[in-house]
Amino acid sequence: MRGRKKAAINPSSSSKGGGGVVGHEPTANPCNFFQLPRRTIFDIFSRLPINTLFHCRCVCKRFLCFISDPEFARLHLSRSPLCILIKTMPLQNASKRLQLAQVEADVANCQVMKMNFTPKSNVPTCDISHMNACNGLLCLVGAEKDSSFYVCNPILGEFITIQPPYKGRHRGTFWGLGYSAVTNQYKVLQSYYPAIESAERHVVAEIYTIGTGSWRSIGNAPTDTVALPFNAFLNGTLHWFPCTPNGSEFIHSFDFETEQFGTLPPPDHFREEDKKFTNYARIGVLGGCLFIIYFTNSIRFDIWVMKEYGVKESWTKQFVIENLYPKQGSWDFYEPMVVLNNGEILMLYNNDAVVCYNQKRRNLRGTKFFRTRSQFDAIAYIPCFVSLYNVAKGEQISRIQGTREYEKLCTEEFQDCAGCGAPLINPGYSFPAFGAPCGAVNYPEDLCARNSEIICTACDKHQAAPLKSFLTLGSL
Amino acid sequence: MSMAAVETKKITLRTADNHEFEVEEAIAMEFSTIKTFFDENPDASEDTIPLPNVTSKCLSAIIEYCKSHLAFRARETSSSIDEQVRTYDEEFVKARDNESLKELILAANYLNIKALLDMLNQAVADRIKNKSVEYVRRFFGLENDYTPEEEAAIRAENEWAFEGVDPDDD
Repeated sequence: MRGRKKAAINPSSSSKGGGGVVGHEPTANPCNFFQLPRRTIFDIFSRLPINTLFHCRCVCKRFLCFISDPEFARLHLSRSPLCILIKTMPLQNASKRLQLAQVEADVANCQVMKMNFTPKSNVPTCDISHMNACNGLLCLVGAEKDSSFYVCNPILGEFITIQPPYKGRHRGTFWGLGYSAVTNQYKVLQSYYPAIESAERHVVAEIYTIGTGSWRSIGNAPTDTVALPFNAFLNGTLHWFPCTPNGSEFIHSFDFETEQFGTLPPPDHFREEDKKFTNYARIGVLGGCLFIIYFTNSIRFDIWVMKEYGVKESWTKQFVIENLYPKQGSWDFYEPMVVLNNGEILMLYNNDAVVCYNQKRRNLRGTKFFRTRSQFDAIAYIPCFVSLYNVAKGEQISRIQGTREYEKLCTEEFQDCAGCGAPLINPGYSFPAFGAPCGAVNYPEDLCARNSEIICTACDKHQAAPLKSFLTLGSL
Repeated sequence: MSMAAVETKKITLRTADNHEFEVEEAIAMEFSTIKTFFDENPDASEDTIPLPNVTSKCLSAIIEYCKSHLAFRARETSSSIDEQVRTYDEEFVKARDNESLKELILAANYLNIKALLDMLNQAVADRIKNKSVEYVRRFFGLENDYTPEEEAAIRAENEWAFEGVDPDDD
């Protein structure tokens, strides 16, 4: 009984050509992958590196549509590995100032993907004094007192401009981009000093929820001069140490959901050693947990990890880093950034270099990820396809590039839903025409539906007849 | 064929091309679709379960996969077991052409076998990773529906990502 299944599902793949299909030559046996449900295609795409996804965008309009889909962007963001984004000191020319490296290393090999973010294609400016990133978006702050803030997605070349009020105040030194998962909102926190003559002058904080167009005061901030670590964001909360001469007994935090400042306790023995310990400490996020290091200028240091967020007793010594480099200056700092799949730990060394610590061999080695002799600041950044058109509604969104043809692909005419009258955006692209309200469109689960069904998500009504301005799904 | 004294419960599955497969209960429970069915219908164990969306070729490969992975899981975890699992998975996909990968994905999706689905999706991703636009087009069997102007516009948008990263010269 050898029922040999006929290619009934796939009428277009006639010749099951080949014996020699082991090389997976696509021409030997093309098949219709579009019988796969959309979420499976999203799943496959979400495992691809950024450069391959860029190629996929060029393959056909439907792929551009998939890669622009907010559901895909969310899935891809959750899987995308952390990258290191550096900003060199302005000695570098603008095209090399922002460099991104994504390092993936497993037992077999190590791959580095590199990109430069430039004002020509990715970011509105690189005259930046500060930057930080959260959940796939980047926040850039200029150097001048009245500089704008920019929140951007450099991969998509989109940005919004936020004008902070600056009259009657002195600019503070603290800016942070955060994300509240509960409300799916991005927010920018900043600090400032009211320009009043008073011994009681205190630093004040305010917050801008992207999409609302205005800043809200949230009262006094605990400190001003702040050192944000490489990766400061965890559980909806930003973490830092104040950089004041007195140091601090605690880790400071700001919760973007509750919009409250708070503190976290370090391990007990840290505080016993030195009340000002924070000047010799580093914190950050590794492997989904907060870590802390107290440098004692010796040839080794320990990385303590807070296994349960907020629980002081859960601080655990997780890594020991030994055989450090001979001292360069009076004090050396190492800031852990990423633990790779093969167990090696990438660390920022004195704002000069990225080094790699091998836990098995217990030694450090240099890396050549970044070709620069300048000093640099580094932050954790996850490149993604989260579009500002979806998460920054209500803001004026600008694009760095955008030829007229590309804009047209994005803004082709749309029709109205037969049921509720909401304008249906062209399913080719998930972002609406500029300024238009969004009445999104869903493909039904089976993409091979012969009658090209389209569903209006505003009222859930099926649009039976294919509409002229939409892609015909059944064309394959 | 079980010759043990203990009677291991078997479940019969009928594929789209009318082949019947008798599998041990443990294996059938790897298929979440079937497990859910039995959870909700505890008395239905006598029936043959029809799988109209799965071919016999797919089902036999899937049964082999689940059998092997069950055996791996029964042993103690160690890095050498992980290595064997990796090798098994690589071999499982290596010789398959794109069409059969696609059918396996459809079947694994229908039967809701998460681990297998993840592995197959990763295998497809690995096949198109770092490949050119043309390659991806041929792989999926797609036509280019961009006009030349549109295609040029998209490529211009993407160009920055492929520009060489110059060696440092400051």
